[in-house]
Amino acid sequence: MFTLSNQGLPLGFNIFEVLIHIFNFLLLMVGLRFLLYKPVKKFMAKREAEYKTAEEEGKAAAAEAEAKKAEAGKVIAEARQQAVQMSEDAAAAAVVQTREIMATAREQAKDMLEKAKLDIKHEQSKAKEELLFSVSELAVDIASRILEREVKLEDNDTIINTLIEEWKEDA
Amino acid sequence: MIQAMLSSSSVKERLSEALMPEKVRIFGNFEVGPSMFTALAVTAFLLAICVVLRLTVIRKLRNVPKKPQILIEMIVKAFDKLAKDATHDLENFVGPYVMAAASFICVSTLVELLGVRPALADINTCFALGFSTFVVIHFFGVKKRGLGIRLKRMLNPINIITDIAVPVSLSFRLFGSIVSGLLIMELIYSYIALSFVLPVLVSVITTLFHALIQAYIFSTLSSLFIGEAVEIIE
Repeated sequence: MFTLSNQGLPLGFNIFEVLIHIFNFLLLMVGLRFLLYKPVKKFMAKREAEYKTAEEEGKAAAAEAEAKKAEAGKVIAEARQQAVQMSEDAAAAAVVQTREIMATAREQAKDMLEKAKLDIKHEQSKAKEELLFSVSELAVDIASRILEREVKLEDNDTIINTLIEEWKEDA
Repeated sequence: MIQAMLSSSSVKERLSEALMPEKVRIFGNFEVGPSMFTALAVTAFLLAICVVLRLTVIRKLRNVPKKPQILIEMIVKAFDKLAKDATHDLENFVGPYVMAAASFICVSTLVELLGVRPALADINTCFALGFSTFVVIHFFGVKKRGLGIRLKRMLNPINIITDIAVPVSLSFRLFGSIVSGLLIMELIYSYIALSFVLPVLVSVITTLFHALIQAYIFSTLSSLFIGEAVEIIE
């Protein structure tokens, strides 16, 4: 059969070799830990923290943007309401102003009408007087021609006035 | 056929040599197996790779990683997760521990493809790994749960047997797997008729698969045993 021992202990078991192997393995583990495992893990942890921070910042920025959007929406709604209010106020003010202007215009028109009436009256009386004077003159002239003498204006007036008085009596 | 193969004296010698290789004398009367040199060479190789990676890839780690960085991060993350899932808060020690064990087992088995004797074809190397796990289990068990609870646990003889069985089972499982692969390869190489094409297939099964499977089994079991030892029962 095969030889399973060449030193007394089965399968060549040797405590010193085991210790050397343990030391060798320990050396490998320490080397792996400090050269590879630790720096890579540290970097991954740092990167994860950075991504986490960035994600949190992103979330905060999104929340802030959402809040600002809501605030802006609120401001826009208020502005719209104000615009509607202002429009309504302006319309109401315009109506009031229109009414005032119209009232003033009516007042002015009334005044102007009154004035025109007065002017007409004045012109009428003036024209009447002028007509009366002209009629008097014509009458005097006609009378002078009929009577073949000069008739004074005072005489004419007396006659006319007498005539007018008679007409008034007849009326 | 196998009986005929094994009965041949040259094959017997070859298998005997594979199983119990001649010791090499170093430092006067101190003798070590040839697996010792493989183990030291593998450690030196792995540390050299670590140094190169530390000076190149790890020095220029980026937030948007390239392929080598992705690979390194993936490996570190896998061992970290394995340790974290098993032990919860000891991943800073258990992670590098299982990573070192897995990488050592994997590389020291793969060297067989180069015609070098695997480091784990020696019981001393396997026992060193198993015993290291045993020490780590009890160190963290005492640290986390206290010496009193750990000693109280020993009052039950079954627990003593269970504790002793851990390094023995870890060591012998590893040793048995690697040596069986080595012996199969030796058998195949002993016959000219079998040394065409067949070694290509068998070496993949006995070496490549063994390397990965044994590395995975050892690291998983180690982290589970450590996790079990530090687990606080409510």
